[in-house]
Amino acid sequence: MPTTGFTYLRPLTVADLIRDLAEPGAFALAGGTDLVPLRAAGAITPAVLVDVKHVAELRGVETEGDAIRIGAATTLADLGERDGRSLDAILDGAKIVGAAQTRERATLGGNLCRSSPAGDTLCGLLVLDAVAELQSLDGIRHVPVRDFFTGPSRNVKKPSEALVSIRVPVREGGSAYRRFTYRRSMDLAVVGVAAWLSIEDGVCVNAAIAIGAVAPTPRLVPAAAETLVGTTCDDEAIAHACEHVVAASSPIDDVRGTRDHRLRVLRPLTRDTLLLALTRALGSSPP
Amino acid sequence: MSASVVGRAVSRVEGVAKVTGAARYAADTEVTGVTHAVLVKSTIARGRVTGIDTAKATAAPGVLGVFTHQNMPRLTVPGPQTMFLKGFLPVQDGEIRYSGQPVAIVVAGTLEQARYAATLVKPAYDAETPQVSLAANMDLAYLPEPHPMSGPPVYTRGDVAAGLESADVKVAAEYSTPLQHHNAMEPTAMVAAWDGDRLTVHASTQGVGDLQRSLMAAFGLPGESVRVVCPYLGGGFGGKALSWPEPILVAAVARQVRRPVKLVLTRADSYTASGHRAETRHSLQVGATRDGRLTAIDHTLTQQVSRTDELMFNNPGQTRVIYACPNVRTTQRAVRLDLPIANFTRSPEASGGHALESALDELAYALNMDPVELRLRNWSATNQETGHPHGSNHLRECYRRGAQRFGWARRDPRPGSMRDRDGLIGWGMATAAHASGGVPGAGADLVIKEDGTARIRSATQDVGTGTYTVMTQIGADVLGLPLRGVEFALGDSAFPRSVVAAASTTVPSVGEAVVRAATQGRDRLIALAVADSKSPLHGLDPKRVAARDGHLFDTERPSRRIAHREVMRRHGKPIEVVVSPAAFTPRRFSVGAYFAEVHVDPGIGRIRLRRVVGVFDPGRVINPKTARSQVIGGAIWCVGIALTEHTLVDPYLGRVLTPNLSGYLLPVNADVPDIEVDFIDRPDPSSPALGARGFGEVPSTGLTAAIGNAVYHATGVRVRDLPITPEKVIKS
Repeated sequence: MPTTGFTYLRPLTVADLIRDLAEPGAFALAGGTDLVPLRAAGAITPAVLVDVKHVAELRGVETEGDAIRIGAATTLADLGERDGRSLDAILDGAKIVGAAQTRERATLGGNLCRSSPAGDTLCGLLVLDAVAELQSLDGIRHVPVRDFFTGPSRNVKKPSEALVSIRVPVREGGSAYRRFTYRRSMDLAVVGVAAWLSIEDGVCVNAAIAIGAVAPTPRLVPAAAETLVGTTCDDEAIAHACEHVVAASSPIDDVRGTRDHRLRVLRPLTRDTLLLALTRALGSSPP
Repeated sequence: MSASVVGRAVSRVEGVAKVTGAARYAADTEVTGVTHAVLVKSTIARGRVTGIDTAKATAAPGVLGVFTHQNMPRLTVPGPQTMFLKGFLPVQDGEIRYSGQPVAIVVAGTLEQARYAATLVKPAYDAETPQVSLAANMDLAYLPEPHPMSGPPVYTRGDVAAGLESADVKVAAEYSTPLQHHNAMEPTAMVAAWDGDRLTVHASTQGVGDLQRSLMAAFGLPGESVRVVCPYLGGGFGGKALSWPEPILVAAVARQVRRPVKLVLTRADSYTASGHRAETRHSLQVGATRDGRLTAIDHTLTQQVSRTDELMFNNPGQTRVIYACPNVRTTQRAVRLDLPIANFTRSPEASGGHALESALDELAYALNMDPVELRLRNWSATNQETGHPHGSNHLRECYRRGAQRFGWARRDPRPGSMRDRDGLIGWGMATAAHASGGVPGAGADLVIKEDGTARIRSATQDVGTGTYTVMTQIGADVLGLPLRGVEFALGDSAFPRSVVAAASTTVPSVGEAVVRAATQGRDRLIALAVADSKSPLHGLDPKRVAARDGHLFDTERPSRRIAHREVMRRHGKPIEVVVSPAAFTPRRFSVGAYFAEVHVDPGIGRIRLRRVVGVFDPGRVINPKTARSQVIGGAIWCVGIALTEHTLVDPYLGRVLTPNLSGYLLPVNADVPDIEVDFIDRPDPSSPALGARGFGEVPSTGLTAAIGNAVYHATGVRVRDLPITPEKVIKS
């Protein structure tokens, strides 16, 4: 339960945003779908809430050169309405977070900064090699999402830094994210898997696989991806990849599921996800 | 001449008020000068409060009072006859009986001020290790004293040992169901206001009369001094059926601060404040002859009770009543744990019925007999517990019609034999059954106004079942008025006394009272019409006169008629009727049959419910629309109970770990397929309510077992511990 008041700031420019976030005890408020309940539960006590939603640079999706730039405060609902295949693994996740009401509020940047091991867009950001643009009074830095997470709900972003955008390189190939939950909707991932496959002449030339909710952070499994390169992603290659995925995971027992069952789900879920990514890769034309 | 409004699929009469927001729920009550209360809850599950530092909270902005057991006025604990079953009032002593027990109440000018000040209250505890695990304490199970609300601790007919001995085929199995919560959409809310010694409480309750009587007892006030009002309820499912301490505590602090006080429980509060379904263990032995006739059932049910009560609501009534079986024993044992008191949750019989209907499926496999056929062979025309005939019982037709609609004849009974492209298909079925009636009757009053319209009132509740609508239909039918000519009012303790809206008794109790009041009113109207020299019905034998479409008419010459409005205009003053509660309503059973199809992914054990067919016999169906809605709601509860719902309690701290709708997995729409519903719809000749029986809880029984039986049929794995999660399907 909140025990102190706070100051609410609503900057309209990035310059104001990073100045406001430099205030002691400042927290960035995007959709608030996590921050508001966390504050209500007394888990965080922000002195300053900096509403990031009214800064133009933080909204919208654009193509910039060879990358797609997603404003950090773009809502999951807005993302989910996009078609176009290059963001598939991210969009698969964005479309299933919470309920429609949640997705209208929740943002991609918020999901990344929350850094939950079970975050539904995070495995997609990993396999699509997304890069986070962080700005503060000290300047700008670009951090690949693969280097972003440091632990459950922990990451390299400093409190004074604003996540301004997320850039996803435009590449050939197909990607997908699938998760296992107990309910069919409005649930948190018990296990999540994302995959990206680039296929030339029927042969995998590049790949990435990431796993969620089965390790302290969402993480890439490079060894699994490497086993697919040079194969046709046949059953044997996929089975091989699945073994690497299981080896890279370290799930726990918690109120949402057991370690045993997470491990059991991981193989078929990886396989399903790879097959969906493969279908999309084979069906996609070059951008 | 139009057909009766009874039997018509009428939309809810209060529907427009609900969807437009005009309906005022307890938390919407506007009272001038209202202040706000917030509870401080115990963080230990067993022990005592050794001191509470309230200095900072008392000095916080806007705080009007901080109440603990040290400064709270002393209150009388109401007795169980007021449906106050908790056995103690919190904030009266320092004893802690469960985690989440209120230990202090903060009252402030605004909700925000009260919430903030509540965080400043610092209790100190002397904590003991709580016992909250039923599994770990099964050796402490005991037989409590008989209590009318628990059903008999031990019930026996025939010779169970001999019956099992003589059986050709026997099944013995253990089933378990976890702690579950009601999860009504509306958390309990209340506003208490004093005017001198007169108290008015707006509260979300299924029993305005019981809550009124509990307040009378707590404060030593006469009935005319206490009024409880609740015109609309955002769901109850039993969680609002008891008289709980909070309205008493809020009324007590309102008196202290001399201001009206409002308390709205949080979602998290509802996991400790409104009861729950106690965790259960069922041990069943069932014996049958080779041709599938039951020779014996021995059903032992062990469930959690609290430190301050020993009521057992998970009653194995279905085992005693439904099937023809000469030798039956049911035993109900209790285990005391450091948890809040349990109470009826949705249908409390769902748990015992689940065990019985699962065991019968196991028996059907042991006999190599179709499970529908097994049930048909053991159908009984009499209530096997009382020996009396059911008023009517069309369960056999429920099975047959349900099986036909479902396509049951195409079922290959071998487990694992039915598949589709990506998994296993299972078909299962079970009986749904619930008592109806058997409680004291209700009272009602009726006014036929000078404009010929009528208003009927009873201190009952509409839990969402459609009471407003079906009572309006019953009243209109008997009075011969169109639906819009009748207003039914409920939810006010100032209205004629009624029983709590629970236990599927509202139609038999309140419906009976409405029939009686409306009949008397109509007869008085007819008497006026035949006595009036200017009436076209003048001089007729009243027995020849009937009422329909707003008119009284000569049944032998229907064109000779007079409008209700005209009779009343000439009479010049209203007709008033009051009927007192009937001593009892007949105890009946309403029944049905559920058929379910599941799809199971054999790799990860994921279960998807694909299809549900339910066919029911509630006697006459007053309103097919609200009855169908009741089935859909009941079926959804069953889906949750079967597959996902489970309140997790920390075994060391005794705290609920899942006190929210994210952690407690109720099914979402995506988990629930279309529920195909049908009714036999034949009047029960013994019904005092136009042929209808109580039905509310029937649809929330049986489907859990049908789903479990379908999972077995799909996989060959019998998961006897609810919920049936993918882990258990794979592991077993």
